[in-house]
Amino acid sequence: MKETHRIKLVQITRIVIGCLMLWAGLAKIANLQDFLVSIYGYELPLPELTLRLAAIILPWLEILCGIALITGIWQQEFLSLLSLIGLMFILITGQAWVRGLDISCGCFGTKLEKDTFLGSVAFAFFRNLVFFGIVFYLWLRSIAQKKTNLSSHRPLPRTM
Amino acid sequence: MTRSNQVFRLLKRAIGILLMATIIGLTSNALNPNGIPLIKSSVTVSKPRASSALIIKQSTVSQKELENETLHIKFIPDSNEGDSQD
Repeated sequence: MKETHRIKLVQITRIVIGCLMLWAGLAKIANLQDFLVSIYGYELPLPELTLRLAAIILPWLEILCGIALITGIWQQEFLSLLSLIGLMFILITGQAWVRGLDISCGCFGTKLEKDTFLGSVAFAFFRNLVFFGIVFYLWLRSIAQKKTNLSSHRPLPRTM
Repeated sequence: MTRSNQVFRLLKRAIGILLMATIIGLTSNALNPNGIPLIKSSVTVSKPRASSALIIKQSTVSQKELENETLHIKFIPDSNEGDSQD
């Protein structure tokens, strides 16, 4: 594949991921109480306040990440945060799947996912694996691209 | 720019983004009437007397079936006590 095509594909993927994050964040904000109930469903051994704070902050973090990915601001920083979020999602959905918890994942609003395979934790686990893989690749690529940009702008060494 | 400087800048910005999300989230939650209260509110329901309206209906479903259901409590003023037994 030509480099120009690859750059275009990366940009399209970045925008698609950004739109998904925006959708996920807005769907959660529309039903904050439902999202909190979804978090309780995972039966995480964390303090009540932490779970409530997560339910309040996470949707906005997703929205900010979505906007940044679409517009292309601070790529490296937002992609590193998204990689961490993706890793956290894998661990949380993975533990729920292993424990056999019969819950909907709550990722894109509970109404859409209720009682369907798309909302099951097993599907969410594999979806998060793919999501993490894509975001991590985009992150590595953004680092490489930054390095290339820096080296191309570096002044040539003087010769006598 | 050295590598450590780059990592430090990345960390600084990532923490900044997290702080921004926290501030926006807490502010919007405080302004939202359907927001999540940070401190868990609790309701104490005292054991009703035999004639109380609270025990007029007894469900036959098992506890397992009711585990994920929402419990709606209707508060009846003292003046109506005993009126709703039928």
